Amino acid sequence: MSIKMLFSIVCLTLLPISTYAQHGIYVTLGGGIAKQSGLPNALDVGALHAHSSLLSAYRFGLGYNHDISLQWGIGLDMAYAHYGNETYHYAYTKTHVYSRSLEFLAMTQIHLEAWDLLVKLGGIRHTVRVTGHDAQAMQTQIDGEIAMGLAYNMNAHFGFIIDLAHIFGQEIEAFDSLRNKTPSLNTFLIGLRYRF
Amino acid sequence: MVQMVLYSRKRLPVSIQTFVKWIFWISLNGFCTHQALAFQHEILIGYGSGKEVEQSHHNQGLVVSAKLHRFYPIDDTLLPSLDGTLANLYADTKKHKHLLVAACTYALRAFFFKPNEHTLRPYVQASLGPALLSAHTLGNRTQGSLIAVQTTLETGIEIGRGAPNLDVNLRLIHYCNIGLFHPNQGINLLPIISIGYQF
Repeated sequence: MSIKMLFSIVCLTLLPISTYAQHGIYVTLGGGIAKQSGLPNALDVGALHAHSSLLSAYRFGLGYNHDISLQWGIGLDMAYAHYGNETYHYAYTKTHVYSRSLEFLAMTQIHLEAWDLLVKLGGIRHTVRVTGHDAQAMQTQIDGEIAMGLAYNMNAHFGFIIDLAHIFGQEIEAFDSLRNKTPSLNTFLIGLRYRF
Repeated sequence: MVQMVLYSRKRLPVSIQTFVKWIFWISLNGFCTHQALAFQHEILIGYGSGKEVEQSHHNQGLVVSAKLHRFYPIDDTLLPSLDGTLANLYADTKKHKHLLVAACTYALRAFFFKPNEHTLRPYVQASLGPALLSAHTLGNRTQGSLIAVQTTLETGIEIGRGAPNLDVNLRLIHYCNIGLFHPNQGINLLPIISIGYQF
């Protein structure tokens, strides 16, 4: 065994051990802020102005964590989410743009005492809806997502979570050229996690 | 357990070597038969009917699936298995009304609680594996090849202690070719309600 390998093993054993590390199913519920990027400007589509709703995101998640060691777990995370609400104002009408997603993410987490550091990576089935004045048919694409999160475990079952995520998308010049395009998303969610 | 020595011309960084060995041991455990489970096999018969996603027509059909082989549990609440599925699907369209599918998938069944300690055992399950289609098109959905990938998401509850047991299952089935062929419009049957017998 090389000195480098031995040193790595010793460092891993000195990491604070989480008393809440365990295998099992968990569910999450979160809400917060989501910003759709790459949407056209108000002037580009002939609108008077546009604004984003601040608290426009919610996410229901179901996942499984398998602890490879006391410090490290891997798993799968699936979720249904609603993100964003961009409103374009015309003289007498409005256009609303929002996104929905079915997410399938690989997850890894590091247990540090009562805290868990999470990293997620995967693909989502991203559907963008344009309703109102510029209504278009639903557009659905498979986009990539990367997320980081922090969980504080109050006990073996309940915990608070904070999630930051980026969903990759495209630039949209106009609503009538929406075909096969979905906006990118940046989200910040706070929520609860329950582990069975 | 069979132990193998991994050879590599180029020495990988230490942390990656450790990770690769972990993945190898987990995979090897997955191919060992575990005899301590009360039952080894399961047969489910189900019927599904629902509107095709983003289409106007409906799909319906009979689905028969079986747990062909149970592998060693990954942990207390996660059980892998090899599943086989036969599906006989119909669409309420004028053309391309019928599809037969045979699939063999790797399934992971996750229980909410330790299964050995409860008579009622709710679970969620996901599976993925190759499928063979009898036709390229069902309804308005076309696949570029007769070879597809079957993906299922399931939930259910096992009832009973020791064999035989009952399994009530609700699932969604999706067929696609993950972009390997064109077109890849996807075929879905959701939801499917199944009753299973474990022995």
